[in-house]
Amino acid sequence: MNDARRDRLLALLALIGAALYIAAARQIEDSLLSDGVGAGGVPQAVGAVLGLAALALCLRAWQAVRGLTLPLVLTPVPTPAMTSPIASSIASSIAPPIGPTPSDAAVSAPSAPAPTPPLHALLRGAALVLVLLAYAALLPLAGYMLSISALVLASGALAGAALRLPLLWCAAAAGPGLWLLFDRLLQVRMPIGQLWN
Amino acid sequence: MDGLSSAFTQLASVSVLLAAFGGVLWGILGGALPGISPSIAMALLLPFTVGLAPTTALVLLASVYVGAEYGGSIPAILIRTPGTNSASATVLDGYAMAQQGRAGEALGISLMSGLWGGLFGLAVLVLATESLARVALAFTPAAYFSLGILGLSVIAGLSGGSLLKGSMAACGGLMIAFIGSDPVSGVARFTGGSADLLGGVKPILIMVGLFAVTEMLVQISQPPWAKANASQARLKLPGWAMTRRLAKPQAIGAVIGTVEGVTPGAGGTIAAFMAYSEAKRWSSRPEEFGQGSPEGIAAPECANNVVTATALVPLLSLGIPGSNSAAVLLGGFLIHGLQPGPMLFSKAPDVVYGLYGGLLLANIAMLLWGLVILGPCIWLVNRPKPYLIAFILALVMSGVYAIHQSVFDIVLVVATGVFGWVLRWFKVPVLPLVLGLVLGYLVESNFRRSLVISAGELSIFFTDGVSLVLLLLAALLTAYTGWKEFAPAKKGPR
Repeated sequence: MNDARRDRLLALLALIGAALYIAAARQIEDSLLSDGVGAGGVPQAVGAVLGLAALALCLRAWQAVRGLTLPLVLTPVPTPAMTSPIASSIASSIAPPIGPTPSDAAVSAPSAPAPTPPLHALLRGAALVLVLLAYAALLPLAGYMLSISALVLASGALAGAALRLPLLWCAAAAGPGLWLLFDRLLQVRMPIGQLWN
Repeated sequence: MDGLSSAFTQLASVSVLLAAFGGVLWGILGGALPGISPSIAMALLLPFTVGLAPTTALVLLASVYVGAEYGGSIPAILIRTPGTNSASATVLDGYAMAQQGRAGEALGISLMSGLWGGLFGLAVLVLATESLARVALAFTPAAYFSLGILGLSVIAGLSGGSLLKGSMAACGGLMIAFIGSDPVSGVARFTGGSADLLGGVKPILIMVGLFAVTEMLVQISQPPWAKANASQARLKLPGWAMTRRLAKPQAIGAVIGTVEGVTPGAGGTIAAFMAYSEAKRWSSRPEEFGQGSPEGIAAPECANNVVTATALVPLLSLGIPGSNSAAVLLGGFLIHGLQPGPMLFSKAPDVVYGLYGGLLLANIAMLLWGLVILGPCIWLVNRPKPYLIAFILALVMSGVYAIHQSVFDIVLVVATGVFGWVLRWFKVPVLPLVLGLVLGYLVESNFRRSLVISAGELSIFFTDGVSLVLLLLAALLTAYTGWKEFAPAKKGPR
């Protein structure tokens, strides 16, 4: 999916979100203590600004498709996951002796569409989300030690660790180790679990 | 003078000492791991600061920031992978020096440049913050509202390169900030009937979700980073001749780091690259840059360490965090019921001066740890990535639960992490969202307060001189960045 299409999708989602938000803000009932603006006044204004920005983004994406502006191929939002190609792309943007302004650094010449994350990356991320939610569900039932061990095991395996003794040992040690840290050292009571209570 | 003496008194506090040394160690190790930014390293510790004294907690978080900036240069030099964004410029000459067998020398230059930068930045922080805060004390509610708008405009325009996406992110942050009870009437807003949301969404949970969980969702499918060579683990500090040679690029880095640091949204990465560029321009040996020039390391490393302190200037004086890391530090303030801004100097001066003293300690700790930490850092970088991801997630989930013993908080953090993942895919910057979240209350309450004062007249925002100037600045900046975004395509050279 190229950047223009991505921006149009974002604009559409933002427009829908803004509309729903404004509708929800209008539903807020004011109390007798309220001022002239009301509890829903500022949220409605912010929703309107979001809607306007979304419309402008849609227009910008349309302009880029029509070749009326430089397709704004942004450098990736600065992420900690820096790799040398990204460092190179940022480094190459400072070739002019003056150095980059923030927006200059973000604009590059028209290039190939930005790659969509491969399916396996999306699936792996989605699986990790499920693992984290499963941890949240398991925590009050099975207790902290068991849940955190299961979390370490599942997330480590998802991240690519082989399901062998080293990972199993790490998972087994994580439960008691972190429990000692939180429950004993930091005096934060961690749940024992309804199954064992 | 009382403030400075208070700062020095804090140096003798055992808890502050431990926080500084512990925070720097955590920061160096975190920063050395590609994928763990200073803000993530700080966000991981945020939940653990709840039970600490305010000064100790803030020193701990700020020390992580200081340590991470040096830690990021270690993999940048050894394996051509910056541990933090702001170490990207260090790759250019640092890795070249490592290939020439001068990795220890490169790391020594990085350490000393970082130390000088950190101390210089601290001096600027101490001198500039209180003066700016005194000016801000005279602000009316209308001026505060306009200041919030200016802060949001600056961040929206400068971070991520797209004003529109930055604005949308800022609106998103404000929308999240409005969840909970109305500050004037107490009416529930956007809670969906949930009792857990009546108190609002805690910024700490959003920050942990956006910074830590999102990054793990991305990292889980990234390939492992290269291994570092343990035989390179011998630091070499620059001698007197080299120190003299590095003075000019460090001075350049210091100036640029100061300007970029106090500018909300600019940050260490831009400062590092601008410092590199200017150091090359003013160098007597520009041809060496990119081939292993010590000056090519000194300038960016000095600049990014200056930013660790100067980015706190707008935070402490105006309450506007200028970077992700400053935003996490703001979260630390909020956890302890402190609101950064001009009133902080009168309500909790010991916290501010304690932070100054702690930052001094942190820079000293960075030097001491830097002399011995290289081997363990290389060991850590060489650990299998899946184990690191699992450990970080375990720490995050445990820390989040530890705040209020609430499973709802865990679910909220996971949901925020997914939201951040989606934003990353759409290339929407996160800092404006965080800023909108933390400034939401300030913006709304001062807007409504101003209208109460003016009996509903919006002209108050234009008749108040300070407010008018701030709004004009916001409008000019927005217009400029908007024009750049919508400028027609220029024809390239033939």
